Amino acid sequence: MKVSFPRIGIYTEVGVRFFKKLGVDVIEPKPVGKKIIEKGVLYAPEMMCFPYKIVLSSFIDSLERGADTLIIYNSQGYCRYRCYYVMAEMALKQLGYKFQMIVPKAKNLFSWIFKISSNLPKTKLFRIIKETWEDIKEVEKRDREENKGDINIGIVGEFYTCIEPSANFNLVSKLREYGANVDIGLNVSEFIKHGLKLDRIGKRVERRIAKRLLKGEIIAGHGFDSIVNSIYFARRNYDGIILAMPLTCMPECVAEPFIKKICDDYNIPFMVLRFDENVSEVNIDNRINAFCELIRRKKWKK
Amino acid sequence: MEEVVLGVDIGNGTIKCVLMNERKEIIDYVYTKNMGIIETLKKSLSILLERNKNFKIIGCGVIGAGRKFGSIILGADIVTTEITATAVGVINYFPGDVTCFEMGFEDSKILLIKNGILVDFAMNTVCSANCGAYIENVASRLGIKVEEFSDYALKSKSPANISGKCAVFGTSSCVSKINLGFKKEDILMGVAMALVRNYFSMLAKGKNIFPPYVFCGGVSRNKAIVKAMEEYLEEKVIVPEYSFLMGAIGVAILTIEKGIKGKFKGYEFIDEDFKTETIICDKCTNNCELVSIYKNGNLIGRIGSNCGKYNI
Repeated sequence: MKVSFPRIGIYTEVGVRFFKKLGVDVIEPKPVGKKIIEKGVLYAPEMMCFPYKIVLSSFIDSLERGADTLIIYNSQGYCRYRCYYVMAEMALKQLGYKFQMIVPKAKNLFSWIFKISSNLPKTKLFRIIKETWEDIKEVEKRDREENKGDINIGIVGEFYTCIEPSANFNLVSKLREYGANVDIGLNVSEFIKHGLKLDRIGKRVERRIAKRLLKGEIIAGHGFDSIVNSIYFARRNYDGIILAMPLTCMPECVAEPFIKKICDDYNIPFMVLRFDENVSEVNIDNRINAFCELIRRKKWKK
Repeated sequence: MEEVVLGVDIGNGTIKCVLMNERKEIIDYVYTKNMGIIETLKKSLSILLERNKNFKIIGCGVIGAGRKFGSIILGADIVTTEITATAVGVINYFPGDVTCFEMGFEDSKILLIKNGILVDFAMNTVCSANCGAYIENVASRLGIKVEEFSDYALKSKSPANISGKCAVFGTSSCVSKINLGFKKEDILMGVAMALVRNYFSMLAKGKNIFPPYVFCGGVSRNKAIVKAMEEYLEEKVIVPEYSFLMGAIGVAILTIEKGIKGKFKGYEFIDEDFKTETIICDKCTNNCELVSIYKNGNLIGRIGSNCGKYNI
């Protein structure tokens, strides 16, 4: 069995280490460059969100390099993400690839890990899980240490777009290049907590404000978390908030006006970036640069 | 010999060069069509230097789409985006609260300035049906010069209804109007109104714009667009004297304010031989197009790599 999974930014190495510890052969997903994305775009529906195209491209690339088992997490949320695995499986089977798809969900996460590593004792498994959790924390810590700028920018928005550089045209590294400290609202550790429903503990005040703002209605996907994290950043005096989302992303479209209102109330600059394979990188670069300049001039005037 | 700074705006349509002294007064400017960055820059710089022999350029700021390239060959002290530079330029003339509309050849922006600080901005993303390129398209399709556009359009009494949202469909809508026997001036005024409608529906979405309105960028010289904009907003739109140079003025001011490092290489640039070479990098799957710049056969800079490894 040769396992592969979609590329997830800086966390890819954690994934590879995790599967190696389980004693499974793993094909490391390569960085998703322009050439690889082209394939995913070709076989995905036109109006589908950009992360799906990247996931599909990543899978095709792994399959071509000999993977026979694909793993994709299903968050059981209520946006298109829920159907990624069904769509990808069908599209790839139609292309003639032979593979099996494993879809772990939050409720069967542990039993799934148990199954995939058939001959490991349970105590060792739990140690591996614990080590991986620490590994994720370590990677995030190392990533945060690269913040050496003079302005703080919080990124909120769709989970995959925030963390995968190919889905956001290297947003984080570009921001750092222009001298900004970057914090991602929903990173992988938050995402896992979210999946296991452990995140109800933190950000209690923010949650209450967000609920009042939405009059108790829920937004599918990560829309609600975007709003909560915006309030979190705003209350901690961040200098700017960027909403990163794939073009046509339904939950974030709903969240956008709420985040705009929060930023207006707290008087924080706010920018929306929508990503798609057709978006010009120069344009994105321009806007990121101008946004940093705007913040710096605003701070400097004070 | 008075010391001056040079502000250069390398846009998609035109290249603007401004000479400014330390009291922030404009001494001279050159406005030329962009026909290839090296030749045009050489031409405009030599015109500028020819006309102003008693001034010495000590610093330089570059903005615009070609800023990375321009900064290497000119030795710029400041390289920044058009948005920041235009805002600085506008703030210089209009301290206080203003909304600035900027329409260039392929970019259009809206800048909200409060108390002399840029607080919000928007920029067109994919569609250019709100920029100068659209006007140029329609004008060439109807066989008139861009400069004559407003002369024709302002004669119109009942503007045609042109569908907007896309430059390609907009142009084809013009063609069908010609075949229906519409007058040229009515079509042109219709285009101006469609362009303004597009601009506001795309960029002013969700923004609270407030008067006074200032209109900058190359398109602001087109009086028909100004009229259409005034009709749309039902408010007066101010077009400053140097509206089309606002970005270059802004970057010149920034150069003066932020300090001159004396890296300016413009004097040598005119006489020397520059060549570029593009290769497609195959080190990873991104396949970046790398542009190497050679001066007299020696490599002086390389731009275009995403990872930054090969940039010089």
